[in-house]
Amino acid sequence: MADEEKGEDLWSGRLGFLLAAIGSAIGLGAVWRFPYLAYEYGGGAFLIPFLIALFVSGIPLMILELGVGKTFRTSAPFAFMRVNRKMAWVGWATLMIGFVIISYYTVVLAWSLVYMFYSPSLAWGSNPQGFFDNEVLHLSSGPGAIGGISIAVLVMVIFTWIVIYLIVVKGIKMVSKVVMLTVPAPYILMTVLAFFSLRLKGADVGLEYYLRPDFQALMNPEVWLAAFAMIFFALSLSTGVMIAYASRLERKADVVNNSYIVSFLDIGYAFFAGVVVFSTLGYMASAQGVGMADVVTGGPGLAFATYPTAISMLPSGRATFGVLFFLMLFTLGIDSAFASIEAVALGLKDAGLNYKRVSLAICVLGGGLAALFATGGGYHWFWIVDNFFNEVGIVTMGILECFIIGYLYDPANFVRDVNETSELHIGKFWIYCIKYVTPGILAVMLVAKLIQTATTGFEGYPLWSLLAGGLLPLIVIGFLGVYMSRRWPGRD
Amino acid sequence: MAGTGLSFSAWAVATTAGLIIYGGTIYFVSIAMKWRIDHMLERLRLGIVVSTWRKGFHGQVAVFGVVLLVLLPAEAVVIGPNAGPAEPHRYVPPDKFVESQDLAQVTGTSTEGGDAVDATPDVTAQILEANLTLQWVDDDAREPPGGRLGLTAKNKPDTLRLTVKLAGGETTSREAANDPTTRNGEIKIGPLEASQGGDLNGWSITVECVSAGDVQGRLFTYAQDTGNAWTLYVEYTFMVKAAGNSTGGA
Repeated sequence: MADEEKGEDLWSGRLGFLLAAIGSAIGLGAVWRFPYLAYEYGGGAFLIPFLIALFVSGIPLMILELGVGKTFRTSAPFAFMRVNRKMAWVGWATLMIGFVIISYYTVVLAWSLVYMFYSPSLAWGSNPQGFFDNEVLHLSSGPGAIGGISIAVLVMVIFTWIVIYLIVVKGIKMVSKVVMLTVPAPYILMTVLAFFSLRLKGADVGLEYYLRPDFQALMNPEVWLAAFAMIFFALSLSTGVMIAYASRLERKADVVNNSYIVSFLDIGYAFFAGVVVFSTLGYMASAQGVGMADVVTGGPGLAFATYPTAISMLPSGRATFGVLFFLMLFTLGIDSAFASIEAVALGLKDAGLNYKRVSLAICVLGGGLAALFATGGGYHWFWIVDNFFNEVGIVTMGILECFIIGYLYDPANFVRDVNETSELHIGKFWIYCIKYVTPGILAVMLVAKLIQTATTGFEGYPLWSLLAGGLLPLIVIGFLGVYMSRRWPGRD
Repeated sequence: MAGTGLSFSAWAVATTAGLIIYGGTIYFVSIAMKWRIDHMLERLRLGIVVSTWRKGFHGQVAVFGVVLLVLLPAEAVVIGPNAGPAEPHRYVPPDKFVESQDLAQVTGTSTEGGDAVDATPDVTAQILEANLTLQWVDDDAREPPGGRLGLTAKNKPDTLRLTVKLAGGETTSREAANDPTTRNGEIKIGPLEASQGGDLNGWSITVECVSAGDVQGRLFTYAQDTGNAWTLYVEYTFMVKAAGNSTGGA
């Protein structure tokens, strides 16, 4: 498609694009996954495999995605189609996986909003875990029982999807404006929280656990695998977002330095988030007189059970701390959410569909799916789908992306195209990473995950639920991708 | 920041990671913004640094490396080798917190075939361990109408079940019947450590009536026993701030 045809879609400037890409990359994982992994896998020593993974896998893949978008000037399905007609399904499947992930991700955003309103009254009382399980989740006995639903959460799910729709429907220009607020906001809020938490007694003990290096951990291959997985998920790679965003860059736009800036700001935020989280946990442990092992956790448990406990124990400023923390979670996640939905809408627009109608349809569908995830039984499905879509679906798409550019396209040609407009240059090292290192490590991650699931299952969930919530939908998405690539063959 | 401070190794990680991550961010942003770092260094009259920086990527990495080599030993001297918590595995500040004990009591009634009754006490203290004791007294045998056969009537024992679900999901459950002679029943669970499942905030304690033995005469059941009242005692140990110490302030 010629530039002038979609001129209204182009980013108005580099800052708008960079902020949107950064907003998409930085997600809730920076707060509740990275610090926990660092604690688990050698404290400060974890940063060594993490930074190595950044340079040999994260940044090369980021350059690949931004380069694909900028070179082919279209979204993932049609970009891959230009390389090889049979590979368009990979692009569609990538977008669909991203869409499903966002449908339950918005439920987490809804929890954040609900907790923001609960914070002034510390509504979780003396039993935050019980409050989260019973009042917020209405947790059912298992994936076979639908359970109840919190009206407050449902209202916030709907609100979140309305916000996403209002941003996405206006296109790239609106995104450029919104990210001016939503991307700096979590940085500012995190800085305010750091001001609070670093002054608490026991903060240094928490930080000691977070930063003190245990170099023996580096001998454990699991640590390295966790570092590569963290980089891959932290940068929101293989969701089609970076390709879609870069497809709306000007022809002369930079790729390599933009990739470095996005990646460094992303991990910078995660590292800083660890400081805030661990200083708060350190205070909590010392106030309770228990060890850090008793308070450290990750995932929603950290945000919606441990953190509320810590907030209740603060000597002062509880309401402010709570509101800021949950507002930060919302602003952190909302740009990842609308970025993924925007990527799907742009893909369908590139297929020739009406952008506004498509945006509405996606948001209605996404909101409906999110409402299901918001039920008491939906929480179980949340975990099952998250486990398979992230660790099997996205990883598979990452391997296929590397295969398409590394083997089906001429990588030397790709390097030439990218270097032509970039402030920093890539070369043989990048080709080596994309052809061998990144797909190799992703393949190891995938095989390890499949072996683990086949031998030990997942969190004790029954086999039928793993098939219904994990493998089967992924296979269906693969076939749907093939169907969509034939339905919309695109224009050469 | 208050407390014992960080160890040198933690500071070294923070400095190195900070320099790589945030220094790197500034470096790449400076390229995008076309800031001339070498010009800034020139103004600071750092001649050798400027010439090294201008040698390209390797020179710039060397400058970062030298900055680290200067910073880290300086930190080692300032912080000292013995800084930081000595034992990073379990932090209980003995001079600021002392152990204390208390007893919580919950009463309720459970009916045969009815739902499990929540018996979690409203304890806000963050406990280290707890011992649970459930006690009940079975009803006396009620006289049947007319009392002709009542002399032989006995109220069969009631069986109650005490279940504790810890914050980590681990569940302990015990059931027992009361003594048919004294009619007293008791179930004990514990000690349960906080490390097994966090603190009492996340625990769930329930009492169920598994079966309520009816009042049985020689030939007939005279009356149906529907359940029993009970009392749960939770004796818990918790850490309390020693007098004169502050837990910190924001």
